[in-house]
Amino acid sequence: MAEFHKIARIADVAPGEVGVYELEGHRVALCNVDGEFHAIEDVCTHDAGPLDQGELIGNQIKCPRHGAKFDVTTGKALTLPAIRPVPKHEVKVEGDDIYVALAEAKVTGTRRRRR
Amino acid sequence: MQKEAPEVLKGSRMSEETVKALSSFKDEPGWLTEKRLGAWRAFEALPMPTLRDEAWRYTDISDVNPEDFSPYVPSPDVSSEGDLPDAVQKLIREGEENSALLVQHNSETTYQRMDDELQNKGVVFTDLHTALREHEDLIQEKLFRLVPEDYDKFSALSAALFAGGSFLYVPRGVDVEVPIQSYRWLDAIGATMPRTLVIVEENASVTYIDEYASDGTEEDEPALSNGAVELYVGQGANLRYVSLQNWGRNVLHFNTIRSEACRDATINSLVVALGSELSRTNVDAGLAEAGSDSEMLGLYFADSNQVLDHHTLQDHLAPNAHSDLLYKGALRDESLAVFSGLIRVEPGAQKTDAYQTNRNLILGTDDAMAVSLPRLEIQADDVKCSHGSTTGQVDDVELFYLMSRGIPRREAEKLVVFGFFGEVTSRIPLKGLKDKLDRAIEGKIGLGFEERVA
Amino acid sequence: MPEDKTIQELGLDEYKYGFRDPEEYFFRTPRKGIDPEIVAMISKHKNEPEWMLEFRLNALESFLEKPTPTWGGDLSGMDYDDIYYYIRPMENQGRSWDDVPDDIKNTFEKLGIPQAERESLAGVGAQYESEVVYHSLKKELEEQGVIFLDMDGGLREHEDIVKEYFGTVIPPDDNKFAALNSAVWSGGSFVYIPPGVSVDIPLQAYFRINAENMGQFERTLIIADEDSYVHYIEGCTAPTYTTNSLHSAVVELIAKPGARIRYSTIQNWSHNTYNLVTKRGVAHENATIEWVDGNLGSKLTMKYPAVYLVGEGARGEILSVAYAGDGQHQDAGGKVVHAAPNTSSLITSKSISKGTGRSTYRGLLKVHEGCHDSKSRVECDALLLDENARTDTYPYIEIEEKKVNTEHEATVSKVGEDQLFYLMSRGLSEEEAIAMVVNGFIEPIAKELPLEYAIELNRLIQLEMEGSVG
Repeated sequence: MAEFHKIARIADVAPGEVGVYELEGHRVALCNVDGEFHAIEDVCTHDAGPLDQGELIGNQIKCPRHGAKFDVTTGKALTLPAIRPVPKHEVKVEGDDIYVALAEAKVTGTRRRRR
Repeated sequence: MQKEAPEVLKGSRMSEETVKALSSFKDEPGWLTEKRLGAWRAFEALPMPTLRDEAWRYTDISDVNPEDFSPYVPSPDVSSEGDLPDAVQKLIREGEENSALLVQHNSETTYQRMDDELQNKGVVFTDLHTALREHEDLIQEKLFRLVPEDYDKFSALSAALFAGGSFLYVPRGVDVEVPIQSYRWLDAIGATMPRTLVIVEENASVTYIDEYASDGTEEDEPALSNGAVELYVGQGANLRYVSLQNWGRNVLHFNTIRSEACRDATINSLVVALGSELSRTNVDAGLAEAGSDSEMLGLYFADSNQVLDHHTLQDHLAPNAHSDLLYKGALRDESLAVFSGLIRVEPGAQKTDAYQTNRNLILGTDDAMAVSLPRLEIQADDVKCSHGSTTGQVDDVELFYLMSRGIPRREAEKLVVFGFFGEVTSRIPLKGLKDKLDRAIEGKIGLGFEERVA
Repeated sequence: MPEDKTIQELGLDEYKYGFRDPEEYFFRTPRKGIDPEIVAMISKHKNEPEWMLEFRLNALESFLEKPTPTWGGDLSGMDYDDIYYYIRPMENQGRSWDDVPDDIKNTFEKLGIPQAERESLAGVGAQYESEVVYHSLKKELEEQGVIFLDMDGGLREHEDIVKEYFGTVIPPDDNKFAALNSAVWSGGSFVYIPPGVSVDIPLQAYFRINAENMGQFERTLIIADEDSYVHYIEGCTAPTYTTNSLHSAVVELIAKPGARIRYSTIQNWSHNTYNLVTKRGVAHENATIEWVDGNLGSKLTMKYPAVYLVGEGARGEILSVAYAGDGQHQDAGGKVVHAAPNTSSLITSKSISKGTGRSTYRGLLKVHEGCHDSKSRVECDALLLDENARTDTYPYIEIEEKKVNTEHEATVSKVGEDQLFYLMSRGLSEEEAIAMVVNGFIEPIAKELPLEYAIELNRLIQLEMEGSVG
């Protein structure tokens, strides 16, 4: 089980918004779905580019480049051209702080983030 | 004795100041200073390539800022081969027998020697700065013509701030039988930007082995290697050029090698990528006149999180030319290998024969990724062109055949990998080099040298 | 944003130009260019449910935002404001047989197409003889539970199914032209095959009457339920006369476990048309999707039929033939994405370039990590018939899994002199000899088409080579 790390405060990400944070080499997209926080890897499994600039509608985030949608509560890919689910990280909220524990899964993609 | 370099050059950033300082430090003619400054401005004006650019689609350099590296790193004086760093001496000992040798240590050329025989025949092999003093006209005509400052951002940087490098000149009809060798050794944090210019006159022939090595590890701060190589081969001449990159894991390596083959000339190139954290090499062969021939071999082996990227071009500008490219690579762990090869046949280049093959072998875990983009742009009809690309793992059939002969699995895998690369190495008539490559491949597969099959 | 408001709020229920019957005004004098008003009118005219209007308006926004791609053919001549994005079918009746260009008429003659069919193809809109054929076929299909309607009818009568699948294979944001189609689509087919049903005869678009057959922005959705089979044929070999300069269709195929869909097209748009199409299919466990794609017409075609193999044992096959004559650019190919183990794919592309024509193969083969024991083979061959003809090959190969076997090969050649010599020594003229060689070259794909299409394809290519087709 991975450790929880504090990455943001509740006030940093408003409902309907997405914030991106670096955590141990991962880009984590923290999504506020009506007050509930969910964290997924900020990678579209279609083209391995970032998701965070995409629209968050309800619990679905839409990749800005080709429209692939993911359910941020489960990581599941809902439409083509994405097929693979995006890794979902665990979120814990304590007081005003949001903690995230990274999931094991990695996204092998065409874009490699070095270091 | 080396002069003391000006302070601004030893600073931690590149700028127009450093360009001026370097040119004046090297006592360069006015035209060259102008060229460098023009190139620096071009470098500043060009945007850094991103993943959105077709030529950089798979290779992420978003955290690379070339101008943040120290532009010039001095090196200690050396009066004999014995004064060179131990690691360099070892490389020389284990390398191919050579008739001329040049060692660049960081940004300076520290040691060079050449057999008398070659000297007498008029062969010139020295660093580019020295050559500028003695062969200015020749260099002015050819330098920056094949890799100009507008080729891409990295070439602009090379034209602005190159240091060290080598100039090889082989006069008409001279046959250099024993290979010529240069080593570029880096043991500091900063940038090394060698610029290489090779001119082989009519009916001459030479083999030139250009090696890059260092002993940094991934724990060290990153260092930058940014080179440009221009190869001119005259009518009926022959050049074999080997670029062997085996930098330490903290190096980011960018290199552009462009060649021009005249009538009935032959260029055989071999580009090897084993080291560095990220390596991007452009290898462009220009078949400029009828009867020219270019064999392009490539060998790469990526492990852990390396990114090894090769972009090649077989540019058929004239009719009746032949090119044949074979690039083979192995990958393991979470590495990425990118191969993009274009065969371009310009209008009028009839009777072109051009072939291209890329093969990737994935070993070990499942996180490695091989990208292969074999491309064709054909504008003449009387041609024979084909390309092929395959990617896969070690063939089970081959493995079982070897194991059924009592060879343990790991040994069998090693043999299969050697067999895989054998298609490339068998085309290199240089024994010392082949042995060196075999050892390097062995190290990468993960078995020690001692475990070799009897 | 328009999509956040209802039609009332947009003020579109009372047409602002003051006519009381907005429909009549709008469709008596259709206007060029695209904006939310036009999109809303399309939806209103078709009486679509609210969700489809919203879908269209969101797609319009995406279309307006996305830049025109520069990586493929030359789209610099495209003027988005100079296009009619919607013309009701009745408008076509304004044209008479006399208005049809002579070279088109001549081709119909040479291909031996009956007069009534010619008129229909030329958009002259007369009664079409196959109505009788259609009715008897329709009865047979109904008995099997097969649904075969135009897309408007599909949305009207089977809204649930459409809503579940529409836009899931090709989301509107996928690319600029999918976004455009998603905003202004009209016509196309809706096909549903129930589980276990095998449709023996190919379903063809021109069987459907009372709908736009050769619409610019067709949208087709085909769902083959478990273990079913269907072969769908779009278009035909006869040149499609149109003043429309842009054809941008979207085709979505879904093959459920064990199903098989074959989709054949022979495109022969007039030489002033941009043909930019997005076609994609999803194959589940042990399902198969086959694209047979012939590209002969248009000024520029950009089309890369794709198969996503998402279930174990799935298979995708793309057979593509392209002919590029003077001034034409066929930029075609195929894409296969392996997203499950034990999947296989085959892409075969044959292209011919003549005169100043340019044919480009552009393809993608991607194998995701974890898709072990998958196999793929791509073979692209190009035949150049003239000195100034041009061909390019740009295959993208991205392999993330080691336990696979992938192969890619491409060759470029001209008609061999020895081949020609041999055939001519047997009494054939040079033209006839070249025609035979070309036939042989495309044979692997032509043989996958129903016989009459294969014959028409061959004949048409020969006509193109003679330079007698407009």
